[in-house]
Amino acid sequence: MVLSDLLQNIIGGVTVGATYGLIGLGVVFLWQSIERINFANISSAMLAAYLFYTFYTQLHLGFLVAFVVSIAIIAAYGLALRHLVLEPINRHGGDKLEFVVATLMLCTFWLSVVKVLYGGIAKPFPPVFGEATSFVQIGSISIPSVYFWIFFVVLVLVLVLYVLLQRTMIGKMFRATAQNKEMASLVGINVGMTTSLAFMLSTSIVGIAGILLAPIYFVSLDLGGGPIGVKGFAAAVMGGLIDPLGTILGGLSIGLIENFSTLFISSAYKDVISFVVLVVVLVWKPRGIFNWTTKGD
Amino acid sequence: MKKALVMLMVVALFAGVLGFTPVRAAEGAIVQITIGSTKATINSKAVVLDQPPLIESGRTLVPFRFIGEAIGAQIGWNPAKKSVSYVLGNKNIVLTIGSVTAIVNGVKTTLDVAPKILPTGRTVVPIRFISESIGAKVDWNATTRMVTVTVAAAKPSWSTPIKIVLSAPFTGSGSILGTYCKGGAQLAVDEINAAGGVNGAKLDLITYDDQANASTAATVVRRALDSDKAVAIFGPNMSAAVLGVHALAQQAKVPMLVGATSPSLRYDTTHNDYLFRLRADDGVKVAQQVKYIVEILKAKKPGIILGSDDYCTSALAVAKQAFEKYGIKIVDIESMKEGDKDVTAQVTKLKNAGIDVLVGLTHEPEAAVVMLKVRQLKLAVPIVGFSAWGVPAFTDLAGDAAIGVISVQGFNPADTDPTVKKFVDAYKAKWGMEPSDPAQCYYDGVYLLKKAIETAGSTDPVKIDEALKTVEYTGVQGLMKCDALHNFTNICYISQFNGKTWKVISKIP
Amino acid sequence: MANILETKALTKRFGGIVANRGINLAIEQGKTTGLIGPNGSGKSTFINQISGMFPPTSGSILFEGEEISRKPACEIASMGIARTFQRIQLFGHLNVVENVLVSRCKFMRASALDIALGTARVRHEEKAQFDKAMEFLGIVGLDGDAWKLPSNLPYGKRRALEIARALALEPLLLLLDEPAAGMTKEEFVEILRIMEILKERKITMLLVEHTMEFIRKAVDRVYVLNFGEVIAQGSFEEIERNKAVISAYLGDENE
Ligand SMILES: Nc1ncnc2c1ncn2[C@@H]1O[C@H](COP(=O)(O)OP(=O)(O)OP(=O)(O)O)[C@@H](O)[C@H]1O
Ligand SMILES: [Mg+2]
Repeated sequence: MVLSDLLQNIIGGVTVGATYGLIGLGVVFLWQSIERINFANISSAMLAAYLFYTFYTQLHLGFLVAFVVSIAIIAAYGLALRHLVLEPINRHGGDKLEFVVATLMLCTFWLSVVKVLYGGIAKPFPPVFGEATSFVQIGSISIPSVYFWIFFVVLVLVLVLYVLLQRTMIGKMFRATAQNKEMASLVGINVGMTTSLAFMLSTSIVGIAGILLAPIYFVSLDLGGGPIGVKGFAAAVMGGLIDPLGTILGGLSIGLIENFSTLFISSAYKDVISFVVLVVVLVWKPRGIFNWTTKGD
Repeated sequence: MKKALVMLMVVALFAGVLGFTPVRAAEGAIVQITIGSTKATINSKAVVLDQPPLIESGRTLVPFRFIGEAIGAQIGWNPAKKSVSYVLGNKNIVLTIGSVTAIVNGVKTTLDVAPKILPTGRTVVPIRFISESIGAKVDWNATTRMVTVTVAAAKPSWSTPIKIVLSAPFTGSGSILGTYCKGGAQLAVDEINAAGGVNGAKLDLITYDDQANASTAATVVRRALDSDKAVAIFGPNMSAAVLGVHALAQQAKVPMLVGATSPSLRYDTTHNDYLFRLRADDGVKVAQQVKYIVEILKAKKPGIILGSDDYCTSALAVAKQAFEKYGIKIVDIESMKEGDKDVTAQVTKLKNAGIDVLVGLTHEPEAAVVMLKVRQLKLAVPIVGFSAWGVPAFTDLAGDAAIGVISVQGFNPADTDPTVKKFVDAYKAKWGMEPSDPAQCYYDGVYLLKKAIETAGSTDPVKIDEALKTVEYTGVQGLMKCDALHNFTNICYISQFNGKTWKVISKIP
Repeated sequence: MANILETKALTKRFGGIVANRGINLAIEQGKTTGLIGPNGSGKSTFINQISGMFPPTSGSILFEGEEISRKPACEIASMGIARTFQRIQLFGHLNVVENVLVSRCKFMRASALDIALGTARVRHEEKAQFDKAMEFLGIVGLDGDAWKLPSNLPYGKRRALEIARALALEPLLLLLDEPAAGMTKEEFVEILRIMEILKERKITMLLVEHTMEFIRKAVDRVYVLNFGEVIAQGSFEEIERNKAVISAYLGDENE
């Protein structure tokens, strides 16, 4: 094992890990705002990728148009989620558990819908982030150009989210609503509006992630469930469900653990090892491993 | 007493001459006679003629009653007109002694040689004319001076269409395969129907979506058996689905012809007389893949990248055995899961293990993920992938990264064999796309079924099943014949991807 | 002087319990109105209805002449009614100044587009609101604790923070539900000081309290509830002498 091999694996682990983190951000955002876990979180990634594929590859719209339209639809979908899933559940006296069950079913629903409409076979993603086989050579290390896009967008998204949640009024409204809807309402926050915004932002973030990830994941059902969904959720849990930065770091840790367990132990035990680590973290630090501040209640 | 004995001998003699049971038209017959000999055979049974065949003006003449009865025709004799008549099925032939004019189905025809009465009192007629007029085939062997008349089994004509069912995935992860299954089967059905069907009956192909899922496939197969009363079922195409449903076909005694490739569907495992396989199974393909790696590439240190499901692991089992037979040790096996998108660590390890060939035993998307990483990390060894590495679902995703990959394929549309080309062209003309594995096997399968129904002379599924075990048919996949494992073919290709098509390196067998 | 708030026959039932029965109550502009009564007499229920936490069973609530009994809480808050809770309620994950800042949302004028683009206008506005929040913290003496989490504050300061958050809404009417409950002597003094400031600022208040000393000092007029009904009203001195009130309390609340 030479140094360049190690670096190469760190880059691989970090990129895939960042993708888990991105997906986790969607979870965090909704939790931050309404304290609900959307198990159909990952569906937004798949839907956005297929929408973008439809607009860009099939309908030949430009990159920007295809991107904006796809994300707008995904945001509208977020709004629909609130009004067609969350509100009816609340009206009928349902709570967190009911929402979990409903969104779990929704996840399967979207997988079947996409299967029916597009077939189950993975489609190549148009090379909008550079050809899949274009690599940037740095010494003896070679990095696919799409990796740079992923790093860049993850960085920007984390920054934007961090500023939004921590530094802006909207962010405070979100966080206040998340903690105590009744009281938020009593200080004049329009809880209905923040809830809608939270849903739209959550689905949009994951939608952007979906389009960004499609060069690696292809336009495939893998973007709508399976390992990425679970690991994105795991990343969010490592971020204590509230910390965007912690979530990204959580995702990176999972990506690196996967790579290094393959490299130094065995590829056969990769998933076992990562999930053992996750369970240990959950038991040991249920509020997230990167819980910088002590939170009150 | 002596008189009685003579009588007995006369009777025996008579029996020898006339004692063959006239064959029934439907059954067909092969009649062999030799010029100048009274010995003849009907369906390999010896008979004795009262008058040896003779040649006149290059035409063989035989006793008129013998040939009529041998081919199963009704024979008439009109002493007044001195005319002989034969009726077989809807054919009607009238000959007149001493006249070269004959009437076939009411139409006057001229003979080369007229029927005549020999000095012995026997009436003889030209055998070729009679035989060919009723649709039998006549062969002449000059050295043995033997004439063989083959009367094909009369073709019963069925008025109702023959129902066959195709169970294939049209939704779900295997949906593209369903398109190919149906494309191949429907093309064959349409061709057959356009050419008059099977014994005059049209084939009716009913297609159901089994979602590549065993429980849906079970519903489909039950429907095919119970309500459609299909005479044969094509598919499912997914091995796991076939495992779940083939017993239903066995119970109902209806043949099931599948393109599923798991070695676990071989007859020695299933013992299902009603289950047949229409393309080479995975065991055969992996063995050929290893053979190519060892004998042609002369690789000594193979490394394997392995998927996690049954398709991949059963391929690994065969590959391990095959390498072992050559005394070659696999230096590294790295596994990945379906859905994995980063194999940096696996490829790094394979590279560091010093492999001289990478054997890919994964599904299509994983193959693409591996190849992108192989190119990124510059693992510069030949890549020889399993069947999933030889289809568009892989090359579309991998793009340029797939160039140079060698794969073992069940079908290669770039094969220049005329039968393959004809099929590929017809498929393209009909569906506007190139066929891919398994389209060819369902195409061949429908033709095989046609032949089996014709051979059985029946649409009884049990009889079709019997016929399937014996018929031979040369189709897109070459000679198809049911072997001891109930596989119709072991054909496969070793091909290399050049960025556009797969160049055939070798075609086996 | 005009009444800022009037209730007419306000009634709230919880199943069999009638927590408020036909309450007619008026709060005069600029004055502090007291609401007293034994435990479970329906004081908090009354405040909850006015602040919009739940709608009344029957009757009406007129705020500046407008019927508000069916309006959502956030709208009532925006119209100018703020409150504190008997059991202190703060946003635990938000720091002290953020707890106050959330009340300033309704003063933000930037459009959604401004916010999305993070324009200078938004940044300017947010800075202005931050300064305002610090100002309210200053009033209750919490400007030194702005970056702490509420859980790190002593009890008395948490109560002060709750009041600051309510004040930050710049309310026309402030509803205080037992602000002095559970306080130490020193904390009690601090609350009294805050009350003085509020009175100086002429903020109209409805004060629910058990502490008679507090009531005596703070209120202009008192309503007495018993079993959900108003049994007396008037100045504190009048109420003190009222027989019905004395018997309702049975002398158990006289410190
Ligand atoms: N949400 C509710 N559901 C059911 N009953 C309630 C509810 N809120 C209050 N009550 C009941 O209504 C009655 C009045 O309660 P309330 O809290 O208004 O009294 P209070 O005067 O504030 O008492 P305290 O001095 O103890 O704070 C009580 O019997 C209480 O149990
Ligand atoms: Mg109370």
